[in-house]
Amino acid sequence: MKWQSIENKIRKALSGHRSEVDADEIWAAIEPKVDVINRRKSRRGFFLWFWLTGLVLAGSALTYFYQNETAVAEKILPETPVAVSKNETYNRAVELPVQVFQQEANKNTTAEFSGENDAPSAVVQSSGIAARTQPFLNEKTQSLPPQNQSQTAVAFESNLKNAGQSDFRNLKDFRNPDLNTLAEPTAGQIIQTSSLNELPELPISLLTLTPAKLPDLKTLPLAASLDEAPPMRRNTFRFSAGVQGSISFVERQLNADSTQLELFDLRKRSERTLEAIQAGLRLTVRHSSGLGLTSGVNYTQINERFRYNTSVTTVDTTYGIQYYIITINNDTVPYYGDVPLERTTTYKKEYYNKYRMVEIPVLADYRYEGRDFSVGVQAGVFANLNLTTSGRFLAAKDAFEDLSDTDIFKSNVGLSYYFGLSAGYLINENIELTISPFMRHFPESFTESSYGISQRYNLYGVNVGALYRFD
Amino acid sequence: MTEKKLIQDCRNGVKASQYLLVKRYAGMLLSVCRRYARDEAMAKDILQETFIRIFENIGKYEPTGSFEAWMRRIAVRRSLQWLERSCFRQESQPEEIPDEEVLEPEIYQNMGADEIMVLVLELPPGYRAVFNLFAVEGYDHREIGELLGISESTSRSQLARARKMLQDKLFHLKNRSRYEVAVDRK
Repeated sequence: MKWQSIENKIRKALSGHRSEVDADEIWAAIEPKVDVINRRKSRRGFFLWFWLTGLVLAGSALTYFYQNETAVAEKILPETPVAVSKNETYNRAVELPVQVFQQEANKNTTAEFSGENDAPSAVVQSSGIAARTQPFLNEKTQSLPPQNQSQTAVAFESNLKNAGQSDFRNLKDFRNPDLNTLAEPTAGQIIQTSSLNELPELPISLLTLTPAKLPDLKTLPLAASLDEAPPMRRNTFRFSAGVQGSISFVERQLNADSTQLELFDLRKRSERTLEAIQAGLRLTVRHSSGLGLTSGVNYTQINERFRYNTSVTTVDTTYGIQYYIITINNDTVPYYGDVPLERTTTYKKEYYNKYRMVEIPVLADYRYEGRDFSVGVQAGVFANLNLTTSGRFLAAKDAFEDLSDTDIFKSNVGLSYYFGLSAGYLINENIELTISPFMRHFPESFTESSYGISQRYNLYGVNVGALYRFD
Repeated sequence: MTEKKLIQDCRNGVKASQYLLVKRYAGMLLSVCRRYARDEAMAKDILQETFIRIFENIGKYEPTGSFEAWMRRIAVRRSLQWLERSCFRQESQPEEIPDEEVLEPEIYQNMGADEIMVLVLELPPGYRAVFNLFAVEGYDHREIGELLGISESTSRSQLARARKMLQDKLFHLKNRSRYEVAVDRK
């Protein structure tokens, strides 16, 4: 009969085998530890929900403020070149897409503007504009009431404040993205066009103007000068998202209490730190003042090497002839039993130990942003969600501890502190490459206090990454 | 209570269900631990650690596989760790021993699970671990190598030695019984 057959029988016999056991005794022994596990799970759940709720609330608040800012800006900016009082004209002029008035004259434009030479902001009443808008208004279902049509005019850029008169370019330029590059108009310049009918289509947004959006001209205060005009409104917060990765030097601090000095020495001699790698996703909200808040998710892995060479002599037992019995018939009968067997074993072990962490970074930073570069400083904490370990090291002389299945390490190492400098370079309008030398300090030991050896880390490295700005 | 509900409750930290799980599976898992441990006390210690590990990781259990098999794997791993702690594992030079024909002793026919277990328990811990993993748990040599941190060939040779030793024991039982019969006759 082959072994396979015997082993199948053994497997069948033993796989369903149940030993007699007092389950209550087992339960009594493990109950306190089960309580600890349950508490830890509920804490972890609470922390996760707390973080998620905080993130959602923060996101909602920022979205609300962001939209509010936009709404305010939209309220301030009428989307049609409606002339109103002097100061309001200024407010609009700087933000109106109708940077209609800042360019060199188009010879074909007939619209002529007369401004007040002493007025800081030139406001021109022009029935011609109304006339030009009328066909488009008629095409749509909405139209301006007569009194507002008569008020329709255009706003001037602030840099025209000294001109008093300005040029009015062909409204074709209304859609020209290169307007900003055109030369500034000169005072008194008159633009002519062959026909108002040549004017291009106005943006639809111009046609959505309702009387309610028009301010009451009589009640609007007049600014004495443009200097007193309120500043331009702009978005206070900017968002950016990005990815980061780093490699860093690892400094490990092992400290032992008096009971574990021997193991401490063994571990120090057999283990060596290698490097740490990090990767993460970041979401940043930045105030126009340069202050920013960053969060996201981060993965950190600390690598170490465990190498151990030793020879161990062990005495094992093997089944063999213990002695012989000589019977009265002079027959020799061997007596079988356990006999000692000495073995010398040479160990040469090498394992790569890994400490893996998932974390939530919460970082505050300040950045100075130049034309296409930025520099800054960043500090904050990484809240650890989870620590897992793998690999092996010594549990005692010639005995190994499997790190993937051990109670030595904590499942959560709490907060670690981060400090870094950063520099960024804008490669286009939205994408910025960043580089950040940093240091991280883990104040909490990775090991449980009952182990007797504390294990802390400092990381020194360089983050590189890319950010996408949602401007 | 169904197994699914029991697992769900244990995930949620319901203590009554955790107690029920211990009650339901302690016998089966102790049997697994007993096959690897040196003695009953050590087996119970391993069993306790096994349950702790089960409750810690029950959230990671994928319901696609058998829950019992999952728990058995944990019990086996804990047992092997205990063996390692006790420094029972030894690496030796690979030695290929062919899967030769062996005689089935008559005594084997009448052996129950407990008696077979006693026989297996008489093997030295290292051999016993490999034999149990291969013959009872159904791991292959590559998996055994990974679990014990030894090479595949070492696992093979240890299994061969374990088989040889088990065979000797069976033969010894057989011979002794014959000798005892002969002595009785005289």
